Amino acid sequence: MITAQRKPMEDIVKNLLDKKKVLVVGCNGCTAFHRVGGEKQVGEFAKLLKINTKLKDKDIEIIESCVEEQCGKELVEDALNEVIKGCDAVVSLACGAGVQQIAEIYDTIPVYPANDTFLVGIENRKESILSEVCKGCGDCILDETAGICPKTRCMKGLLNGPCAGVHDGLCELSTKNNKIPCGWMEIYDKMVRLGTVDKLLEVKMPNVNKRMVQLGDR
Amino acid sequence: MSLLRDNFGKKFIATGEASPPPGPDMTEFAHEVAEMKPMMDKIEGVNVVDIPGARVLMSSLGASIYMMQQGVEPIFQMTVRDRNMLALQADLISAATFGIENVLSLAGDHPACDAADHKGAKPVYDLDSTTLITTMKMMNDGKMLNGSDMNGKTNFFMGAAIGPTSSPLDGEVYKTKRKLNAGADFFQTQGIFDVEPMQNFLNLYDKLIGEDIASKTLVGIVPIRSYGMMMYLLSMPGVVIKDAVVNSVKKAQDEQKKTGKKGIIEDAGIDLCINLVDDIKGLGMKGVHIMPVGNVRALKAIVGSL
Repeated sequence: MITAQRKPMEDIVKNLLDKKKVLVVGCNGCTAFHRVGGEKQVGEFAKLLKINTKLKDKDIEIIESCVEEQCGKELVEDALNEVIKGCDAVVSLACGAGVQQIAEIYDTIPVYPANDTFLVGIENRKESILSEVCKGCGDCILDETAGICPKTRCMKGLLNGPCAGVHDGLCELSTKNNKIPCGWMEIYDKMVRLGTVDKLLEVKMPNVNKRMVQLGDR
Repeated sequence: MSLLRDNFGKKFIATGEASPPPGPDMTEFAHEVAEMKPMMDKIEGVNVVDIPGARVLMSSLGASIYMMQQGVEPIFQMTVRDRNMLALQADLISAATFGIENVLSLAGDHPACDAADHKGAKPVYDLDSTTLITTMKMMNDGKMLNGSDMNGKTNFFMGAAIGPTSSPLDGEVYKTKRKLNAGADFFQTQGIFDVEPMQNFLNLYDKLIGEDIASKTLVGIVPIRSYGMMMYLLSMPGVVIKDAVVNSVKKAQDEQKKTGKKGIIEDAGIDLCINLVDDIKGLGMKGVHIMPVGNVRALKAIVGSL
């Protein structure tokens, strides 16, 4: 599942200061699950726009809508073709893919993201939040790393970790309020449980000669 | 030719460390290098740091070449944080061309760490500290990382780091053995301020791997010069200073304030290092890597006590 979190309000509002009719579009896919993009959040977000100090005197009409999955072209067209008429801006509460799908279909209306998109995550790894676990790199090595991706869960993406920055099992980028587990210590602990810790003595080389291009058109 | 390689294991090694300048004015750095030159009969090399704490300085390669030209043997520190596998190899070829043989392979502090000064910089980490050693080993055999032939062979003496204060230590132990498997010739530890972390590392290495690692390892020590410097060190990833040491520095600071005499903290820092060297020798280590952070007087005092 794609992970996302809400941008600071001022970063969104700055794009809307000269607009007259703004369409706020949610997505019932991944960002709804993450509670930053669903129907309920569209209503809450629209209210926040209406009471925002920089916008409240500007007479901006806010329209609300929600698409089942914003990455689906037909789903977007079915939901928005009528409601988007007359709008001079769209704010998407989807991931970066949803924003770009709307921008591609309606290419004369600016589309602004309400969220910062992260990559592929799973639920409840730590403390009931979605955690990023896969970068979609197209070169999966999970068979060699006890089912835990070091390219994603090590902040340095090291193939042969941990680095010396690990302290109390936490990454060197951890702060008091944001404790980041060291991905490599998680791999180590899992390998101990699986009885495969000797694999850690093998040097894992990057794919030097593989063209790292993504699938699909750009 | 590498003095470090020639003397390793034959005597108790001492290496120093210098930071390249934070801008184009070379005056201070040149002075520091000039002060170190007469010490080359007592030390085996001087580490040149590579953007430590992700705070921008002149490049480690440029400063290493300068040092080489001044007759001071550099240990070229190379992190994999800022260059992809092409640029790393290109810089290694440049280093070899200018006669640099000692290279210390490091991951490098993340650009978003507390100490960093460009927190938005994009990290690379195309290789890691282990695969950079593999790369140098291939280059020593005349090959590029992709297996193609170079027009000659390098002669790198390949160093790697040990973080004895990592916790838990198990991962660090396995990684050290993996670096040895990759071809590391010697190890340098991150700075320690008492001998306990090193002792713990050696014990665990022996338990999990069952081999000696002390005979390949130089232990990092740092003469603390001021309370502020100690606090900065504590903001660096992997630096752990136990309370007893912090308190002794605080005590020296209080005395310095009270008496108005200069140099009390500096002397206390030097004494801490000299005592620590005795403990390090007791563990059977092959030498010390002294990180004087610009304090050449401390370097001279510690080397003089060996």
